[in-house]
Amino acid sequence: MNTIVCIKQVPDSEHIQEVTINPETNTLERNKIPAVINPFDVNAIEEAIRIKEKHGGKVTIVTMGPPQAEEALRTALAMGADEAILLTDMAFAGSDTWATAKTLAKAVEKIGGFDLVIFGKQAIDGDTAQVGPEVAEALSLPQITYVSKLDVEDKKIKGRRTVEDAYEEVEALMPCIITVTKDINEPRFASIRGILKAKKAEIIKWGKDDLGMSDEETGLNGSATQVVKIFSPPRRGKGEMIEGVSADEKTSNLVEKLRADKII
Amino acid sequence: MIIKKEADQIISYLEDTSNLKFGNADAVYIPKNEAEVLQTIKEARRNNTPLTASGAGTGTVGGRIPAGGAIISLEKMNNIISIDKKNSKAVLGSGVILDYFLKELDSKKLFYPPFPTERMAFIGSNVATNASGEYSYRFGATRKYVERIRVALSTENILDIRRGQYIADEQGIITSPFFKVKIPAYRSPNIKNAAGYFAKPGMDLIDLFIGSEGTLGIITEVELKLIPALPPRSIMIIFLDQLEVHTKGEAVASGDLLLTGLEKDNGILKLINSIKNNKKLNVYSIEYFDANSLGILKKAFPNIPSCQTALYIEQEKKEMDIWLEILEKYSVVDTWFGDNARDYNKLIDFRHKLPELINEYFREIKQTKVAIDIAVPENYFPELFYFYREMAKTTAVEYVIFGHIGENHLHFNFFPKNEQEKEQAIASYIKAVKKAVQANGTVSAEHGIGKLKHKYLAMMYGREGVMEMARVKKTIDPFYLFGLDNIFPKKLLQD
Ligand SMILES: Cc1cc2nc3c(=O)[nH]c(=O)nc-3n(C[C@H](O)[C@H](O)[C@H](O)COP(=O)(O)OP(=O)(O)OC[C@H]3O[C@@H](n4cnc5c(N)ncnc54)[C@H](O)[C@@H]3O)c2cc1C
Repeated sequence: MNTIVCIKQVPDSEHIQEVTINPETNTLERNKIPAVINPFDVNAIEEAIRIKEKHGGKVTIVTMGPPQAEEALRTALAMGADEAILLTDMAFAGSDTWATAKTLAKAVEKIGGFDLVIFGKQAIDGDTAQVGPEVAEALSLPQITYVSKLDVEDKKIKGRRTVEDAYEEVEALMPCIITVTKDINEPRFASIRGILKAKKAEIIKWGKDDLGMSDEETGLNGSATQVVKIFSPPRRGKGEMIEGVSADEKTSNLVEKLRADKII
Repeated sequence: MIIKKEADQIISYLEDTSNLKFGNADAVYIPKNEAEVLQTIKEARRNNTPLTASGAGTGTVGGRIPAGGAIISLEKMNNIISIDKKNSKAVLGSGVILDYFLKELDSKKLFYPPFPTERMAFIGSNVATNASGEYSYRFGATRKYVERIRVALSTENILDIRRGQYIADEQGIITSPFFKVKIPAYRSPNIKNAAGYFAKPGMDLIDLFIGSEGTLGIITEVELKLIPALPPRSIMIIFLDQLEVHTKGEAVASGDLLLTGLEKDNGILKLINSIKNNKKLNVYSIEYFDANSLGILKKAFPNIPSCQTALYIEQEKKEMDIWLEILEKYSVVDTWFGDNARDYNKLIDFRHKLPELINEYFREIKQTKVAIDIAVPENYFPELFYFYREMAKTTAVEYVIFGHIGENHLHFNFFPKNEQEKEQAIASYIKAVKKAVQANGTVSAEHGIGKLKHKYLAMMYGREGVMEMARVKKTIDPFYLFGLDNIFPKKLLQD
């Protein structure tokens, strides 16, 4: 059983306070803070490796991004993935979700021989949750989104799909596409052996031509939408800690302060 | 000054994390400055009642729990007076909460190396208990970083002690403006230690006050040494199996034991030595978890593989090749590695979670903890380690072994379920203390003596040693005002 996992490298949300937006280009200043694999994609990788451990086969990781996204692929290899492909080309720059999905779909097609493609439910930087479903549409494959539990049977999968206040049990024939939530598993940590293996592994690189794509289909040209402006919301005032040893004392200090400020 | 006299206002000051229940006091004084501290002392003297210093109450040995009299809480002496980046030092009121201090330092790209684990503690209490912390293996305990303190004495004076200012002469006498004291004749072991007054020929007066558990004076202000913020670190957990040597008995039987050189011991101690001795590594802490600890931790970390032991290592760099070289000789079941912020924080939790889960479990079985806190010099540690293993094999009482193996300091905690088991656990405790004493170790490496461990301190220093401490106390606190029943029983002062 072969699984493909599509991942994205995103700014580490643990360093969120350090993220800034360049006012001239309206883009995130990414290079200033560490990059990590999108957290939901880590669950996707984990699920693929668990499937491999149980049913055999291999796990291929794909990401579209700048050359430094190679780091994310090596992390996935260190967790136990078998192969990693980096889709990198100047022509891909500026892709919106649709252009990204088309490019990823081409790569998935080129890899071929897969039973399942897994995405994280959304990337934490753009938060659109569109790319997984769009790839499914581009390839005309069945899809189950927001999967929080997965059973793989002979030719089909059964996914628990989380919806508001409930969940649905959905079956799909393979090959198919799923997007996963954090609840699906607890990702493993990379091991020393894994890290060393990943360090030496070859990363396959594909550009526009390798995927047989035209300039019109990729990057900014292939995008149906455009970001006009990104801006930081105005900063909120600084919070103040109310001191005190006991809850009682903190409460009375708070009341004192509210009185002093004529709020109550 | 705030003074609390109602029972319901006082009650929260009558406990710490020891579960001791005897605490009682007539009043809590909450001074805002040194003048009010002196006023509190004056009042206690006039009423002829003892005065017990209170920090945040995170202590584990009943140090702040008053045996009658009044309480002086330092909670309002909580000003960060200055943080001087250029000279890497900070001056703080003794009631500053450690967590708050660390966050301030963080924003100035500075760090306080003792880094005590319990972040709600007060900085002055850390000094009063010589608290150690997460990176003690690398940086040592609080003592090393205290440059100056101000102490209110029972003679109603403020003594300002800068390191290097008041040193013991050849007769062992230290002369300060307010007293002359002869230092104790015993010598404190040169290891991680929080048992009784510090003593060493030619010692500094400041070191007598550090770790004196509130028995000599009220610390009002401290000046601490800082270092630049730490570089990024990573954490690795190594899960191990099939360590060849399990107990000393088995080791001797297989002709495999050399207590002085560990060459033939193919077990975890050899692994630890090779980590400690590897110059290319840059290690901050080495922590140990036995199989029972891992069993408990599985609640929080279900992916823990089944194995005998785990080591937790925090380090600066990620020298994977070196680690592979070191580890290939051992039966490694799995390794977990985290260097990005998310994984790093998850793995830090691996270390913090265990004491929490243990305390939960104690509350569940409604028993007081029997927690061994001894440490020994490096060359004796194998002996102690095999002794622990032997004890673990033979005891009928449930237990866990975990802790700071890099500093030759493990916590052996028993979970007795009834009185009979409790007696057994205490008998084992005493055996362990004897081992530590034989080896010139300490009966308490980090928890202190407080009101819980008088007996063991007497085993460590002998009756004369403890009498010497009482003599020092009588000299510096002639009214027996402070921290009554801490370190030694009050009746010793009347002898
Ligand atoms: C989960 C947990 C983890 C811990 N980890 C560690 C650890 O890693 N290392 C370690 O060493 N300890 C540890 N401790 C124990 C405890 O946190 C330390 O001993 C800490 O220094 C106590 O601070 P506190 O403010 O709570 O003091 P309290 O418990 O309130 O008082 C402790 C003692 O100091 C005296 N004292 C307090 N303030 C003053 C003062 N201004 N002048 C004179 N005497 C004073 C008190 O009388 C008392 O004897 C831990 C405790 C817990 C609950």
